[in-house]
Amino acid sequence: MRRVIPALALALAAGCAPVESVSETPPTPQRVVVFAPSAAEVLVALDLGERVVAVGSHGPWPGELAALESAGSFDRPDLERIVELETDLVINTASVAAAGGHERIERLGIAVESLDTSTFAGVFASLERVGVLFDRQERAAEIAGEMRAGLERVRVATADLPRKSVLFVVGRDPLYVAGPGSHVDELIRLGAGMNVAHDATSPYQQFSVEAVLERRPEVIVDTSGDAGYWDRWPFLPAVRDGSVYRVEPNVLVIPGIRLPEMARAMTELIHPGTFAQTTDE
Amino acid sequence: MGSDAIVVRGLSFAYRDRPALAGIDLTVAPGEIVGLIGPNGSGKSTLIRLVSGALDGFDGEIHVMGLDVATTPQRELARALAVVPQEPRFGFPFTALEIVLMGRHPHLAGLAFESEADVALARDALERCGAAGFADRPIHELSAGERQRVVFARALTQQPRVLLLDEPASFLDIRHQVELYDLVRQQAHDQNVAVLSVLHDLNLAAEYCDRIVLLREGRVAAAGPTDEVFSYANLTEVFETEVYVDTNTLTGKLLVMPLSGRVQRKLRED
Amino acid sequence: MLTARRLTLCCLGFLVLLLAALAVGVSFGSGEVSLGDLWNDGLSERHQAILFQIRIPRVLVAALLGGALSIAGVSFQALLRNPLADPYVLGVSGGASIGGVVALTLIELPALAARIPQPLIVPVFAFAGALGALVLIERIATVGGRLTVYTVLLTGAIFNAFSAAVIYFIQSLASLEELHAIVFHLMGRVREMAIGWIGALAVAILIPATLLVTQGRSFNALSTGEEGATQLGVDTERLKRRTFILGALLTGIAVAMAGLIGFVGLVVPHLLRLWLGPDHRLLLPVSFLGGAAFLVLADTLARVLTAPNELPVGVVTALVGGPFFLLLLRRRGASHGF
Repeated sequence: MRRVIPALALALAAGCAPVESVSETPPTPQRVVVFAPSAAEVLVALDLGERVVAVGSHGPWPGELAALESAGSFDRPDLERIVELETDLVINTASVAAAGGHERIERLGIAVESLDTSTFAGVFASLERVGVLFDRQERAAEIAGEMRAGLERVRVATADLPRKSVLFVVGRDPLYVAGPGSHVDELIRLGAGMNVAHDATSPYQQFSVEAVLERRPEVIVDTSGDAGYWDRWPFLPAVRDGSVYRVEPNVLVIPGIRLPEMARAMTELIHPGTFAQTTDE
Repeated sequence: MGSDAIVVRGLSFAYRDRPALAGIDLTVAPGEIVGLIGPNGSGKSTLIRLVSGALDGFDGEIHVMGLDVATTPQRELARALAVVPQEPRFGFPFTALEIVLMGRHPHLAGLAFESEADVALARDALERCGAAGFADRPIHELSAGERQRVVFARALTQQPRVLLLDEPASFLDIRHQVELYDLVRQQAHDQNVAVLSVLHDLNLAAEYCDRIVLLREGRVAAAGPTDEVFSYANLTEVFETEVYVDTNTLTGKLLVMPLSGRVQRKLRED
Repeated sequence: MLTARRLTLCCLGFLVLLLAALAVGVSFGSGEVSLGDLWNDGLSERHQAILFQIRIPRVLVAALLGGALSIAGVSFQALLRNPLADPYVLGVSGGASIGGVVALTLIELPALAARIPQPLIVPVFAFAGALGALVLIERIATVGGRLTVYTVLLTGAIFNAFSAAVIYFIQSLASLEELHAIVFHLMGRVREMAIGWIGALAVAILIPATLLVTQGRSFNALSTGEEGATQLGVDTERLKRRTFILGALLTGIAVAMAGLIGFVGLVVPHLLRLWLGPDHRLLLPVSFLGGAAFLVLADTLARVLTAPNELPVGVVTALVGGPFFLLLLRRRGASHGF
């Protein structure tokens, strides 16, 4: 039992497509409040970090944004603070929009943008959307191009590797794992892995420990606590081969423009030395 | 004196700041039926509750069969004394027989079950109270009068030496009132049980009580043999209303009739 | 009418039911291994682990917690003379929830990790929270040396509301990770434990449960009101205090181990009362066994219905218990208000 990220999971999983905002403000937003850490990453990458005036109470936040004041939580924004800060754009996750949580902000005449970054496609769409909103389409496209290239290099490097079965643990009391529909699942596939929880019914899902033992994962990536937990089952290939890894949640779990790095990191966990070899050759 | 079943000496009691009883002295001998009479709020029910051990924090002393009510464990007290409350309450749908068997509680050790003798006792009590017909019906389905008889049967099943009755006949029709008080009298005279009973019906009191204690505003206004206490003067003073007192030519006991406002006005005009 | 013979027969019947539920629980799961494999010498290491480290421990924990919640429910219903009381009404669960949530925000502290094994941090804190709530509520509800049942009920309700507020407050300060750990903690679940710990849990639950079972006849008398019970020879004050403390201990243990699993403590006693009558001498032991069987089966459903995915067990108890309960109330209860 350890703090966990299914957090994000829930926040990111609910919506599918970015919800279009009604606002048609010709000048780009100057004062932004952001509630989604992944969206904050995109802003920083587009050199828009200084325009963020406040963040949500649930981080983590990239770089200098961590020092900013809080404007409430993603599901209960502090409207007075938002108005007080003369905010002209609020960026939140799509799940909150689905729950109708944005109407109150919009009624104050402040634009709200919902970004869904729970999948690779969502990350690219969000990047593009933020580019449009802040009139940085070119820079956004540039970054998207770099990301695609980075991901492609990973794909090429892993194309001929044997597939290994991988379990990605988000929480352990009860056991929560990353399933299809999550960016983690895409990372696993890209890294020449097969998700042990391929039949999980939601992107982040309470899952049977028995099924894990039955399916004998070759790699276990655990973001939830000390990885020693799995040692009690030495017959698991992952335990036997020393392929159980404890990873800080934000290394792999918060999706964003670092997807290529994440894909490399995931690949290194599943097939250690993959990139050491490719650079040598 | 030492042989009295109930001895109350200098009893005073207050609910928080509101005095309810002050300086009550009272005795009931085995085999005697003593009626507690008085207007609403005069402290009759409080006195019954105090003697039963259900209230503490009183001044003075109460002894029941030689047991000091203030210090005797409730279980021991309940073997000597049974109460028929004014409005019995039932939290769950027990059957009448199950309710009556609860009377054996103070007599049963720890986890013991009621013996066949206990069940026979309960059935006999139900029979005597005219309640055998609904022994197996849930108590909630019974009428108020039927429940009252069940609770009286429970008190009998407790095999007490002292019976405390708080207006037990209030929901009963006249036939069952008479049957119930006949049973009370039988318990007193045949089993030597001491009875202290609150009554509202003055004619029932006149018929069945050996002695009367008249209460008024928490004090004893008059006490003594029924014929002496039930005087026109005592009753009009205590109840603050006009009554008509006569003699029942059939029994030779007192006959008391309250008079309506109209009759009272007419009397005053005359 | 209850006789010793009927009591014995009913208890045996429910014991058989519990054993059957345990057998079902051990037989089904995501792993391809079943009850019969217990006697299979050539069982693979993997299947041994599934049976002995996961499935059997989890089934046993479910049985103990289900029994605890159910008997606590009966006891509180007897104490409050209200068939709709559940183990969570008296506020102890609020204290346990606060304790657990505080633990989740502190769990990373090295000073803490050095002293308590990590899997025990949350239960230990939660149980401490339950005990704190118990003492507090008992103190507040004792007026002039007497435990006033209405004050207990009111204090419990207020304490639960207060706990909810404290938890919201902690949540609003928590990081996103902590927030979700908190949500999962509060949502009920049954976890597997090491066999040694299950033994300790069994002792901690069976002692208070047994003490409650011995109060059956006094609970019956209490149904005629506190004064009525006193006049039947019950030491009402001691009975109320004992019931509150024992029931609160059981509830505290259950919430500390499993979060809030609803319906067990309400539905099981209620159904059994409708079926077998209100005599607490029977209702107490049979509710323990029946509640145990109910939670074992509910947890089995939670594991099996969408396998290999799992449902939160509280969802299953509510989904199964709720409609069944309403149906029964409609068919049987309308006649006498119970």
